[in-house]
Amino acid sequence: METRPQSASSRESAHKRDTGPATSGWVRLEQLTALVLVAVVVCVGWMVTAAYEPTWFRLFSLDAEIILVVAVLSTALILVSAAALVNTRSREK
Amino acid sequence: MGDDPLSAASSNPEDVIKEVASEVRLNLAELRPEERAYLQEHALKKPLRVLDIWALGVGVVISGAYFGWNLGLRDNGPVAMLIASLLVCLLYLMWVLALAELSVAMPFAGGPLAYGRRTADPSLGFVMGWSMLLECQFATIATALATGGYIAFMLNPNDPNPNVRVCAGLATVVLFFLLHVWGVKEQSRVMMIMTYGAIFGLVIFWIAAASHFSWQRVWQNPALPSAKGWQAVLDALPYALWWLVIIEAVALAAEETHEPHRTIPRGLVFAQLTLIGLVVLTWLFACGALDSQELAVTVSPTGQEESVDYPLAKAIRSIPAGKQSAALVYGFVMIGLFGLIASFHGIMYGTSRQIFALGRAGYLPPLLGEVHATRRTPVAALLVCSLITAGFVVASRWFKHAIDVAVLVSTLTALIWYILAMGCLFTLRRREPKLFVAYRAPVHRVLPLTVILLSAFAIYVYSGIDVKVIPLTALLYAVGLGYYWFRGYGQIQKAAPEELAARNA
Repeated sequence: METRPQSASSRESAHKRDTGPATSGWVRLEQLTALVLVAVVVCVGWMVTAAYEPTWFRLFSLDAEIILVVAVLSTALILVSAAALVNTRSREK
Repeated sequence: MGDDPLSAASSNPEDVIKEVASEVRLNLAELRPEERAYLQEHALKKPLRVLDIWALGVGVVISGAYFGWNLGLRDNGPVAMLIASLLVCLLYLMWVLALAELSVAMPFAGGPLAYGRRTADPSLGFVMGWSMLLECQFATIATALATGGYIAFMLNPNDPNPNVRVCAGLATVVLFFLLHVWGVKEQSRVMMIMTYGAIFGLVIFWIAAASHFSWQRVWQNPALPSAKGWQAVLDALPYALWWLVIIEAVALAAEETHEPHRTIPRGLVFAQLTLIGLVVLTWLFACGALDSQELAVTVSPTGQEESVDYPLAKAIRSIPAGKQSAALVYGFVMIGLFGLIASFHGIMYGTSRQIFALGRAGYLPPLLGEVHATRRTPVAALLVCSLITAGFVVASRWFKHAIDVAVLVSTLTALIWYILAMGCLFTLRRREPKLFVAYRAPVHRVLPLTVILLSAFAIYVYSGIDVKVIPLTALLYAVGLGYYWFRGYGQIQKAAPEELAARNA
């Protein structure tokens, strides 16, 4: 942690320095996360449909549907967490 | 943590003015003498670090693990609650990342006021600031009421005395008013101790509950109630929001944070990941130790079903380890109070800073924007927040549904400004890309868009559950907007940091 008072000039240089990660791995992580977030939105839409019209668009057994939804939500949580941590970490350097 | 050269330097108002000018990207020479004098009188210290932000973030919402979420188990079951909780965890993880981007770009105590002011005009700034003020104020009221109720339950579990509940709630309000007036660094240390205590209480709960854990109670057959199916997930969602609501109060600390472009994102991300762990483990062990319906409701001596305000204490009291050891039950209840008090402390911080910022910028009476001459704490804002909370605590003696109303208004107003804030983020990114050079949230466009969609979904589900609170919320907005249009609009203070930042847009 820094111990010096922050001046306007040091802050400006910090702004220029902190542009975030820009590797191909980072880009792939962001793309994958975006894809899973779209899947989450689709899942939510499907859940609402299944709640109001229980006979429409039923995919598998109830247990399998639950496992699929939990898996999509957990994957989204893990990917967003990973992206957030990598993004934060790049700022520490 | 601890005092360091920065803290010492930052206690000098001239240094704080330099830092405010740097944050709004204005040259010091551009400030008029009266604006410098105004900032000198109204500037806050900047002592907060990553650990402080983490403690504020975890502490402010940890009470959600101790009460409130369990009501979503009623007639819905543990699996519906799990799915609703995971959705809420994802919503809040994305929300804090997007919020970090906004609060780093505009690190002011006003938070949403500054975002709306810079994006459009003072009216949007006021609507967003007023929304967050309502969210924080009603969450403060709910937590004060729950703290009083918890203390009354501890003193007499079979028949909690309403007078004890009111007195304990009032004592909490007075105690924390004095602590907040004392100073931000001092209360930050207290917050950290209480946050550790609250987490320790949950660890004790997990260990005790693990001794009576059963997977059959967690994954029932059928996993979702046959009568409801997937509707159970929607019904559980409004209660799942209570796990994590109000974490955005941390964004208001940006003005009191050293190097907000580093500290705010790191502190918020670490806090949110800690909270997700607490949510999943608390859900798992609570539902594994006691039947989910029993966690949500209890049957009174008169045969009526009543909501359970103390689910974790009830679970511990019901398992063999708790039946054998009264010390375990009362020890846990004592530690559980840390969770409620830690949250009360953090939410009061958010409420007072929002009142202060709206008063400092002239949207509310300017007296509310005054700070203590030496301690630099917003005394008038703290006093108003405490008096309103105390009023509701006293009124709860006769108005039995005060806590329900407080929780529902807080959640609804929160969701409204989440959507508005994401609109601001999209607009400002397009119009002023340089504003976000210091910090950019990952998954650039999809993340805030998903926050908007999930928040809109939550509002839709929520309003379907309880629409009675909507007229009250509309009335509160009408009162705020009425003051703004007839009085506040004409006395906006051009030297407030939020206004200086907007001038520089």
